[in-house]
Amino acid sequence: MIDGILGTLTWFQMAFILTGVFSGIVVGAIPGLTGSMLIALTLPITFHMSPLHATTLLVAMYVGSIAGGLITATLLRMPGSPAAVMTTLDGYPLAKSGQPGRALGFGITASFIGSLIAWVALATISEPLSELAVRLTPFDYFALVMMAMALIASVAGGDVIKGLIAGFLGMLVTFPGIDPSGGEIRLTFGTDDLIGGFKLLPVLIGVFAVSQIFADALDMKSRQESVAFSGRGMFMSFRDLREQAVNLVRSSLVGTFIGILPGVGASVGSALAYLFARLGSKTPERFGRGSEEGIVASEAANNATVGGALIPLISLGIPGSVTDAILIGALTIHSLQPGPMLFTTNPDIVWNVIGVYFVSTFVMLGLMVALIRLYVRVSTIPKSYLLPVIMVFCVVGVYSLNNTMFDVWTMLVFGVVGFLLERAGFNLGPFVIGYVLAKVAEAKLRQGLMFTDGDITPLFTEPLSLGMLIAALALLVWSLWAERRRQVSQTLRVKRSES
Amino acid sequence: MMSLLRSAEFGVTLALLLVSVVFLVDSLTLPGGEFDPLGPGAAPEMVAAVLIVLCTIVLVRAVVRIRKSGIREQRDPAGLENGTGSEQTPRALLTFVCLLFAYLLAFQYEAAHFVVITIMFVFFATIVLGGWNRRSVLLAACVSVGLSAFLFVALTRLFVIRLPGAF
Repeated sequence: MIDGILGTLTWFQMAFILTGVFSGIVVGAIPGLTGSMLIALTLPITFHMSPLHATTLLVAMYVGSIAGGLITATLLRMPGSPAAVMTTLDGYPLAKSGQPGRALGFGITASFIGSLIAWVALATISEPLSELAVRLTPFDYFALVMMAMALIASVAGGDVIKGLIAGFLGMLVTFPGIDPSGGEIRLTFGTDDLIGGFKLLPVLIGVFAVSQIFADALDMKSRQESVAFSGRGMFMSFRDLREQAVNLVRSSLVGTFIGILPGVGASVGSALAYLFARLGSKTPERFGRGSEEGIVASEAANNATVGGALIPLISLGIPGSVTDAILIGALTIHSLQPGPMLFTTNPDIVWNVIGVYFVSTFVMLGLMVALIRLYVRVSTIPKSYLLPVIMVFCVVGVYSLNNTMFDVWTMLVFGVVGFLLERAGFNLGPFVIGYVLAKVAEAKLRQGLMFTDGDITPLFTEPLSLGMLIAALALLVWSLWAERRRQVSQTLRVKRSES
Repeated sequence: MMSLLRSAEFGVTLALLLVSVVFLVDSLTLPGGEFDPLGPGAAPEMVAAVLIVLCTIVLVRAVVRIRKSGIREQRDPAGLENGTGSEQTPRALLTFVCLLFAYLLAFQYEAAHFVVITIMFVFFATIVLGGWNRRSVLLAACVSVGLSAFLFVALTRLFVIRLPGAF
């Protein structure tokens, strides 16, 4: 671990960390642009880097992008990233009441402490968890993937069945191409270009960047409210820190735990921490009207999810969030296999990720405080200039993958698919997680069946796989039941108001 | 019937159902496995079958909901059009998509050099999204020329990346 941290302290590594965190904060601060988009767009550039430098840059971007959302959430009442939605509720009212510096200062400090607490979990849990994961049988792994799918469909927000559809659709689009087990060509519909399948990068950039560009192009005239920035009161006093200590630790732990759960992500983490903070507050009536506790809870939790989400990525090869799904893709592109064996095969990469996360947290603190005025200016650049430029980057990035226009058209098609799915109320998170996990699920199921000569019963009789399948089923039943209850109470409310 | 077809949820789910059916039919034609019990078609079959069931549930639910409460809620199930105070500009989006399509076609048929095609795309896309006035035209021209030239030099010289378009 010490080597991992020290390894990041070279000039070259520090340059990548600074670039990554800075660009992450800038993108996080611009409403409509997300960290997932930035990381997907940066992937083509990392082809020319070593895996060590590529992971350094991408992890630093991840840390910066979550933190950057705070700025616009506080000053423009517009969350720069989905993770900062809860910050808007209290950040903007506090800023509007004449204390923008205090609102940002509380957010920045909470982001820093939340990240540090999550880093402790990342550094201590990952290795033992991966040692445990090495002992999993292929059926256990298959059940784990199914549980992850159920979890993301249940908790990622919105309709559970639609979440499942998005997840299975993500799985379905990985099947065209050469069957990884037997080598047969399948589902190419007579198209030679599809023999290589739908590649990761065009799909990811299409679903995350292009669909977002379309959504932004549809919403060009949204009006922005804004508060003038002033740095007064940006640093938390010891008294503030003492008052917020319990809230800080609790929210960071909630964020870390939510991050560990596959596919759930920062938005749910910050919402849950916000809820706990309100329940535990002596002044719950101030929430939503500029409460410092609300800002601290939301920011500590959403930044802590980054560290938490890296734990299953490193130890199990299961993405803790959508951005982690893209990071898994990045590792695969660099011929690294995320999962329990990564600690054995590439310990330098694993400890580098952990070290970079630690150093990036400090760099994030420094850059947020030092360059806040710059981010505020950048975040107000009109989208009419940004969107065409980002589109060109998408085209060039995808084309450079194989120098073929087929990939670019694939990106466009998936951009349209992503846009339409979102318009129809489907969550894109499960789609990407399903896309990344499909190959693992298929390979493990087939591997397990080969070991047992086609006997599927161990999947339902071995305690671990059975337990995970029951958990997956229970999750789905519970969320369907909760959704049904919500709908019934909503109907009753409407009827009552009509009568 | 028209109400149903105008519903985003219904239309998208119906399209997904059709895609799943196509995948299921095609995967049923795949041969069995030689070395493993499942073969190449089993996983797509399972996933496509589950998708068909799930899509059918959503479609039935949409029909029931539309019959009960009319089309209004169904046209925007995600609530995207409400509460943001934003004006929707589908015309700008459609024009932008057309420009993008033309941009990609120009690359596909190598109609001109990368720099020329990119300057034109960025310039017109900026105008389409931002509106037409003297200042925006001037800025769009600067951004399009600057970006295209920078990208060409940086990507071809620094990263040795091949760019689309004629050379």
